Amino acid sequence: MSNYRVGSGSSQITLEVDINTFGLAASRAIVLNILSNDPETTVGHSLNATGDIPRKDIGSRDFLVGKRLSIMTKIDLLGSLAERKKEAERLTAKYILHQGPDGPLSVSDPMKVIAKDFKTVILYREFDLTL
Amino acid sequence: MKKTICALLSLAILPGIFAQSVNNNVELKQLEVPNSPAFTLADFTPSLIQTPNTPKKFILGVAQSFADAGNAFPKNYSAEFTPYWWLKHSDASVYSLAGLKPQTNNAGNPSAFKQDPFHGLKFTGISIAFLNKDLIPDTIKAEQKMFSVGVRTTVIKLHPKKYYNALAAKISLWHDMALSELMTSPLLAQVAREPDTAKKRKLMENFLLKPSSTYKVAEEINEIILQKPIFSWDVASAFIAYGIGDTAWRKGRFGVWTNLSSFLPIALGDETEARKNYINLNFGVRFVSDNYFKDNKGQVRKANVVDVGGKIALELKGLTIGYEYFNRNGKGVAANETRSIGIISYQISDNLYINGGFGKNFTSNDKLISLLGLKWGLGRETISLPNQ
Repeated sequence: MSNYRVGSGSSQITLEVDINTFGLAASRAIVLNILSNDPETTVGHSLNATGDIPRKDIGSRDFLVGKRLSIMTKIDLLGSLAERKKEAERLTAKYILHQGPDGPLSVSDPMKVIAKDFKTVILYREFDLTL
Repeated sequence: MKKTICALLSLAILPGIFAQSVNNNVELKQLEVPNSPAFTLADFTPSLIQTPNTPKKFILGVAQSFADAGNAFPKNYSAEFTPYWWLKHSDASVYSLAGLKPQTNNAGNPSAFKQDPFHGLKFTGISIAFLNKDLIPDTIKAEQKMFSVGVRTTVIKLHPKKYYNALAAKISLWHDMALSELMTSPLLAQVAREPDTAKKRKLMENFLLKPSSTYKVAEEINEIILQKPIFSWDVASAFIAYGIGDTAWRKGRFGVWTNLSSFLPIALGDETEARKNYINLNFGVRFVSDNYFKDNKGQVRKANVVDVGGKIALELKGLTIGYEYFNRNGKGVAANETRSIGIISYQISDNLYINGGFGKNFTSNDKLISLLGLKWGLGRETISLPNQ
């Protein structure tokens, strides 16, 4: 997990997700307040099976501060068992946050959970958004 | 159906096995563009082929084979790999895998996909082998050290437009289903609220144990990607160097294969069967330059041989019935050297085939040959699943 300083004000924070896989991928990004039971807010999702979320505004600094940004990607892998195993090991993801007072933050270390038959992989990354 | 075909071919196979033992010059499929040209040019069928997925594993594999031979030339090492998989790709996606090029509309937004006929080039494969074998057809029975290297690629691959439309639509369906699952499942919020990292992982592992709602569509996409093209142009080449003595290396053989193929899908009642049933038309040229060629007078000399011909075949699911004709030209080659052979092949399982050939091969004196045999893919490296 990382912290990302969003500061305060009405200007927008932006998120970009780049999924690098030859499998079929879909992504969703949410923000929620982990200290309350308020439902999560979807702030972004993939537009096609690349799983990428093109750079987009995810909310104002005041809306986001104190919340957790979580991004999950589901990937179904194609091919034989050997091909799926190789791709499960190879695939990567990059997450970039922009417009915070400290500038952009780019990380490429999602939690990777692989099905035992290597058919499906889940990537997960979260950021705590601070003042 | 499968059992009946297996039984009939098994009955037919027995005399074929004995026929094979008296005519070891004949090889099935010897004129096709080979998947592993380094092995084909050396008339070599490896019992184990390493498939390194990183340059480091490849170098370690070669080094290990030298170490196993006591730091001498390896007795038997073969590997094949696709360098594309060794590289990092910033644009990796299922679309680039399937040869779909995204198009944008006037506003610059993604609008449609069109096919990339050259996308097979990036999957160019390389095969190498270190061998000890008597490839020089003289009276001396002595093995030579051999280093063989080959390359194979698909230069052009074309599918009909409806193929790409169907593929793009199916991928879009998969994305809609997967995104809907992510939107409606409580998993993402549960993982986000869970403070313990190990428990986060456990939540996702439990999710993966449930039946997947999307994988059936993924398998359908896989089947579409595996469909044969309506037109393809394949090229392969290989070179062998012979080690004579301890230090001298000589050029042995060089070969180039090229094939133009067309797979015309046919439907037999069920529309979905069109994906597995084809009429295959094939035109091929093979050039082989051999510095140690035994001509029809029995003399060993350098020779260049060109084989030109084609094949027509009916492919019904795993069963292939066809006819292949090739004409051979070259100095020291008789004018009427031709290969005219009927072929039959049945795929019993993913890696097990029964192959047969009946007719006249280039070198058969009695004009008639018959061959039947099993071909199986047990020589590949296996992978194991992690302990459960």
